[in-house]
Amino acid sequence: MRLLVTKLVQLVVVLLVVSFFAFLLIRLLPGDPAEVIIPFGTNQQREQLRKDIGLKEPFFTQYGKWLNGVVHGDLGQDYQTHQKATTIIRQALPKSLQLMLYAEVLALAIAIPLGVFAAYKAGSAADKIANLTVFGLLSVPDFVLLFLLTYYLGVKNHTFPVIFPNATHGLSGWFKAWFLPAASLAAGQLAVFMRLLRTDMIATLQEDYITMAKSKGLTNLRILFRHALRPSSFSLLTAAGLSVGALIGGTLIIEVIYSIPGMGLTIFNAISQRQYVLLQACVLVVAVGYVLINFVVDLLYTVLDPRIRHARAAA
Amino acid sequence: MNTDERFPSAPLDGPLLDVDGIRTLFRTDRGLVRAVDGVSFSLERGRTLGIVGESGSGKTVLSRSIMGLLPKKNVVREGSIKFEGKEIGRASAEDMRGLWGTQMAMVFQDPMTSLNPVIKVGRQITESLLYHLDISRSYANELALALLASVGIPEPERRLAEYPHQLSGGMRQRVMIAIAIACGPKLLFADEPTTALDVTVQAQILDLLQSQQRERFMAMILVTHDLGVVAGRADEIAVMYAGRIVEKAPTNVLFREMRHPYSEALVRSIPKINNPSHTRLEVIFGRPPDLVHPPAGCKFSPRCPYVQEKCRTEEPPLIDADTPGHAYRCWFPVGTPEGRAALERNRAEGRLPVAAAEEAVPEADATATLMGGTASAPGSV
Repeated sequence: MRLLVTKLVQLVVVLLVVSFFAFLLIRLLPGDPAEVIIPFGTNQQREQLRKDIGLKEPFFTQYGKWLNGVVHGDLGQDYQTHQKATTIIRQALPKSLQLMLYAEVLALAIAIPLGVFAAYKAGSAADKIANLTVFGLLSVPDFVLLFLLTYYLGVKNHTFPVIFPNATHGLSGWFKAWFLPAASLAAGQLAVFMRLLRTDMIATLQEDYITMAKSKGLTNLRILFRHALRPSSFSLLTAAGLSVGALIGGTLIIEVIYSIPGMGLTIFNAISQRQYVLLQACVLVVAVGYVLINFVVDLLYTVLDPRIRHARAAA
Repeated sequence: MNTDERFPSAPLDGPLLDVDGIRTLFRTDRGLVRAVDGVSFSLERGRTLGIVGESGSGKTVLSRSIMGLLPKKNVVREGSIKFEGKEIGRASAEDMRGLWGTQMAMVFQDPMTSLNPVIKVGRQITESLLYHLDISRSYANELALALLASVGIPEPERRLAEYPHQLSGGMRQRVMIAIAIACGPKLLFADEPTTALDVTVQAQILDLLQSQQRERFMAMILVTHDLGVVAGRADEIAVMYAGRIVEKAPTNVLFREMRHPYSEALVRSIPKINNPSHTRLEVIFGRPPDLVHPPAGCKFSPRCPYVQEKCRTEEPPLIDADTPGHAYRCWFPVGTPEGRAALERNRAEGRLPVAAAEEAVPEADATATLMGGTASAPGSV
């Protein structure tokens, strides 16, 4: 419990720092919002605008006002379109999250059994084939894979939609709609996850407690998944956490190709159209997502290994 | 499948374990390592066999070979192992699984690394109970509680819910024993069960093993480098050197009529409490032989104070002594006229490796030997 409280305090501090840099970053970008908004007006008009939207105030006052808004769920609104940033993000973020979740679950669902099996059969022909296959998948860029999958599974054989549908029907519809982009993303993750798990697992299988488990007369399946998997999954968890964090920001290329209105596309548009407020909000959301995921990963470490739990609680 | 089908009753006559000429060779880049090289013995139900030898003598490999716990890859196994009359020398891991835990079990050397760090102690005990026996989870928990109590763990209820790292070394070894005996094996291997433990706890663990063995009428193979450990606890002792049994006898016979110079050296290297302080420890000169290229003749000859020309060229067979059950591998046995003559000759000609070694042993090595608790050579520490 104390561990959780300490972690939460740390989390708040990190989030404050992150929000500050998100705010600062946008101020450091070249260009002036006033010039973007009034491209053909007079300097006087621009000066008036700067006053109106608060750009004349001291930096920390601006930051304070913005942070106050953020805490109250207001990420600001665009100077031109007057759209609220929260409205846009509320539409885009779930798309990216769904894609991320689908891709991660798919990658882990294949990587874990495959990694365990490859470690158990380390050095065998099956292990080598598995390694070669996942390395092949890793070396193909995800967008190339998406094109290939779309062509074979969408165009030639109409199993999956070739473009992201506006609405999906039912659970199977959802699985189908997201499958192609998720599979393209998962393919790369899969190789990394499987390799990490395999390496750790090979080391774990040398441990005395595995011989001990064997001498108890347990089946191999039980030894591998009950005794060896958990102590072998630290690197895997770290890698999965990082890739989840990275995918919160969306994947621009995949989103563009498959026409998914997700975070990647939103950020791209915000940059190209100089929607500073929206960009700032997106950066904040992605950063917060990253920090939260890391927080969860840290907690999961303690679930994986009771020794960490007790060592930290005692410290 | 009910319990009767799974564990068919075996004939009660004949030895529980009969090992005949087993060899275990490891294929390495340097060549074949002859870790166990022609070992034979048999063990009756409820009896204890002590296997003694220094590090690298093949005693751990021997026990793992018998139990079939060695990896398949790059391991050559030969010879016959009969458990209750059934040949298991060539049994696959799948076949052995029927014996592991329920018929034979092992207490490992290092309790710090042999318990799974991420599984609660209770779970690690009930796991095999639930897997091997047709019992409910609550009954398995009761059994685990009773087992922990019987191996002398205070507050067993609390310990069941703890993880191994929350327990002391001695406590963990008790848990290991509880796991090993959980399903009532007929044969228990104890592979250096006290080496990793504090000296004060060692005797307790050995006593515990002995009492459990008597209560449950288990046969036990107690592997150790310390002749003192098996002295009062084993019915029979086999001394191993370079993968072979060099002397084998009932315990009291061995100490009374020791024949092999290596056994003698092991006894002499036990520090004696009656010696005045600062008495130099007796060590065995040299180091154990390279098991890829073992010396010709007797494997102990390079380190033996009795060594003669014959020893260097011709390996002695296991010779039966006068006392039944006693056998040794030596051309010039200790305590015989031949042996005495050989020692005299070496002394007269100034060829005594032990004396030479004593001059060369620095104090630090002697201390290290003491810490190791047994005969070890300078340079091998």
